[in-house]
Amino acid sequence: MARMKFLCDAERCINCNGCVTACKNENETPWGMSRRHVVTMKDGVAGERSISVACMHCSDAPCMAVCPADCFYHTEDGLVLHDKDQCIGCGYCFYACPFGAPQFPHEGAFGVRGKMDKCTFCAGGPEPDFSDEEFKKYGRNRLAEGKLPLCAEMCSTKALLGGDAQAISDIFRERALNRGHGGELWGWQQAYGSDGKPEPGPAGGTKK
Amino acid sequence: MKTNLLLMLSLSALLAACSEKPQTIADYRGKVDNKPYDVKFGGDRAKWEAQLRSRVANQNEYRRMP
Repeated sequence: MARMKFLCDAERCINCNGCVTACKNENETPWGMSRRHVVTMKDGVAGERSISVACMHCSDAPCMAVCPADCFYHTEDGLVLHDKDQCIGCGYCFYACPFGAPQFPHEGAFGVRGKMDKCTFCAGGPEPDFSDEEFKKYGRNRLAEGKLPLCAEMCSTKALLGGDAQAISDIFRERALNRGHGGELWGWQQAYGSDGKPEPGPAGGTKK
Repeated sequence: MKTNLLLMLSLSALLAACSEKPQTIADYRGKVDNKPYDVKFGGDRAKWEAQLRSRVANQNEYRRMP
């Protein structure tokens, strides 16, 4: 086991938001906060694709690089976790993250930032495993129970895969071979068109 | 003898770059986390990995269904 990753198959994601709901329920995240989002490209036009996005647990994580409080750490399985007691809620990680993973509670009349919250790959945090404190701060620790993140395990179309990077890549490769296409996953061509120019949006304007 | 020594030296030089540099950040200032297999799996990483492998395999419907 080397590196834990998520992989979302855009050919299969049906934008049901089941992963978002499962994550929210399992980790009991407060109102207005969601660790996972489903992003839809080309909404309502031919070629529409959706992908489920959360923390990608980067190998060279920008959130970790910019954090002035040094509250992030990498586990030996490649997960990017953080210590909420060390977090000062500055929001730098939110600006640095290309996936919009860090979330902040909007408590108070002026939208004061609280401690950052993000996907933990259902691995809890630096508090003792299965403690109340860990659950309150980081949510459920499924990994220590020998389970994978619930968003991936309950995905009805198995679009979202989670686990060891090599193992889920093998699953995806077998799937792409069986269906004969889709090995490209999602990326530049689907988002911006084959000629490098943005394809027309639903209202006739260009979609950014 | 000399050839063997030369082979050993060249192999060690070749394989020296095959290791992976640790990605744990040195200046992390928070609390130390325990390993995910410490509590429920009694520190047995192999057992924990085997459990996770079976869970990962459940995500592959080509293997799961007959």
